[in-house]
Amino acid sequence: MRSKKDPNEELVSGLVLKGGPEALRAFFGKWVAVDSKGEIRAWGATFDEAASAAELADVQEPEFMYVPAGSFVG
Amino acid sequence: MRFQYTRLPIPGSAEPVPQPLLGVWLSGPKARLKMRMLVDSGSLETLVPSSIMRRLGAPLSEERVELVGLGGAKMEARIAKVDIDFAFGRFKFTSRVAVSPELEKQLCVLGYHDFFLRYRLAFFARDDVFTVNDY
Repeated sequence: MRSKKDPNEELVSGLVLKGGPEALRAFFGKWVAVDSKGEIRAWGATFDEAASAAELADVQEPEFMYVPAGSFVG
Repeated sequence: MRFQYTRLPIPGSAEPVPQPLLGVWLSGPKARLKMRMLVDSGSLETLVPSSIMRRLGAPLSEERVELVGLGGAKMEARIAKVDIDFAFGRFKFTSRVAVSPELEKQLCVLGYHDFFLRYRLAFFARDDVFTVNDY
């Protein structure tokens, strides 16, 4: 079984944001669109709002994420 | 393949908390969307809000499921199929997805159907790393 230390196993970074994770604090309870450089370029109260804002801002290949306003319990 | 946890801030807490989030592409007949989703072993279904499915153009089946969440809250969801790929296209699969407008206010979730069924997963929380590999 492979372990986390397997040198042959490639590592993919998590979401890296300009300003670090704290940059998300202003967006609790909102959807954000992040560009390929890790900058939050658009947002909205709903996914549709964030997607429309990303289109207006001409964000290329935005990555969308909901920013939970509390600890998530699945 | 190893994936780093993503650190998320929490209201009232000074320290961000690590979460096993995975960047994936969701593909449908009308669009392809890049999403950051929570890898959640506690969720039977992969969960996506209706707004995203409309944009993807993926048809909903007639199958309905009742989802039960925290505190016993219930919601009805429709079932659809969506193509998912991640890690620069290295992993690709078609997943059953539960869809509801009531899923708009939470992270999208990769659950048992079909993410955990499709891949062998291991979590190393102290190292902020999880691994995804083919069976």
